[in-house]
Amino acid sequence: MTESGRPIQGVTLYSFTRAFHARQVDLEGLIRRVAADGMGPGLEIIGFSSFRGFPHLDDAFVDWFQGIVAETGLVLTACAVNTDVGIRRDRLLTDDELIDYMELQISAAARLGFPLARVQISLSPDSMERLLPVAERHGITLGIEVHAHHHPHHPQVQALRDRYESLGSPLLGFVADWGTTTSGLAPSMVEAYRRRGASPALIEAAQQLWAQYHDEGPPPTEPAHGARFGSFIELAGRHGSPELGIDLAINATGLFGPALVDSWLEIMPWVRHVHGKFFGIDAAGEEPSVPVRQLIAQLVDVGYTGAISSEYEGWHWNHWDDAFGIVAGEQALQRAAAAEAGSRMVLDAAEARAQLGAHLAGPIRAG
Amino acid sequence: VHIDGEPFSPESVRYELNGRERRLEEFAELVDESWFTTDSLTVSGDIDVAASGQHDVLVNLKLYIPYIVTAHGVLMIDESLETQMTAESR
Repeated sequence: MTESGRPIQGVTLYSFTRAFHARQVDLEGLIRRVAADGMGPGLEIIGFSSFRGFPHLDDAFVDWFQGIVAETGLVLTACAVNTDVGIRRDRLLTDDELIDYMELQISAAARLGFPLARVQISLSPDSMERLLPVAERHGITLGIEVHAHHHPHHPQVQALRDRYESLGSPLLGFVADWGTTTSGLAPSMVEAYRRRGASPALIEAAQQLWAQYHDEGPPPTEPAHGARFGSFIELAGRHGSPELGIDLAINATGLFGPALVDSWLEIMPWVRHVHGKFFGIDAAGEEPSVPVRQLIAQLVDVGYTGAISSEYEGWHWNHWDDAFGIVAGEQALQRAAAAEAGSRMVLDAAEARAQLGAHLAGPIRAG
Repeated sequence: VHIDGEPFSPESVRYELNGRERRLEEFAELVDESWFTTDSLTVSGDIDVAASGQHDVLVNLKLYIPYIVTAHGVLMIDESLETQMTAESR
């Protein structure tokens, strides 16, 4: 029998993007706030978003950053790095260029002290195999994020899993984003569309179309995803709000994935880190569009001992609520769910540090 | 950028970022430098509007998301914001 999982509580600073972009709080202020409010011990940061000049960082900055982390007693869990294959306007990067581009960021993440770099799904199995020696050289795990519209049964994810299985390294895995397995569109997003002029008929039609796709299951192929994307644009146009079409399509297909929670089991042995993606907490303390209780119970059940970064993404449209309070609410829900499942979240920094080290060093135990 | 519906004269408009002024076309080729998330970009140039008072300022941004490549190419998000601003004389 598998021992019960004890996920490590944490947060990604991405949750506070609205306050950061509005210059209400800087990087140091955010890190101190996370520690002071008990939103850690786990801390995840997006390289390009939070570190000026990333991935070119001088020693003084690295020392400063590590000093703040040590002083606040937080535990670095993941640094999100970008797979910017389309950064040039004239053409996509070649494989060689992309590997070099990734190595710069991966080495910067390792220098800062992160044990895992979140990479993105435009990396092919061949590219991940080429990056394995880079990961070994820098002593860092690479996790491809599985994020809507992708999902554990998507051919790209399956191909990566098969390659991971044949390479057998603990340094290659996945970051599971809960936005892949949602149960509906967020009420706060619906409210934001209403405020932007969407008619009740459009809102109802969008929710119905999303529910239909949920019933059908996640898009099995890229053309199937493209067709769904187009259908939301068409829907907005038909209901008199063409200006909302692309935004609705991006959100309805790219933030609210319709895969089932059970589908994570397909790749669970390779899940090295989790993005506890969510969009809001209601008056009863529940997340209306992400099945947080079920997701936590699943991690406890499979014996997961890695970290969960609470990742609040309702900030895109919700400019009226405070993100710090919303994250605190979601973490309370995670703790309640872990207790309900017969376990607990790890909140102590020393325990988290030791447990995360063992989790990332341990072999992948498939099937 | 438009002010009271007027564009800047194309010859004069410059965009200052990371301590350097450039023309808009130059940004497309710039892949080794970033626009940091909390930095301002300063637009300057000649424009035929009153130097004082309230103005309608329209900014349109076309942001390519370089890590999302779709069947139609790199995902581009087209965002605009129009707001009233008061000119400060210098």
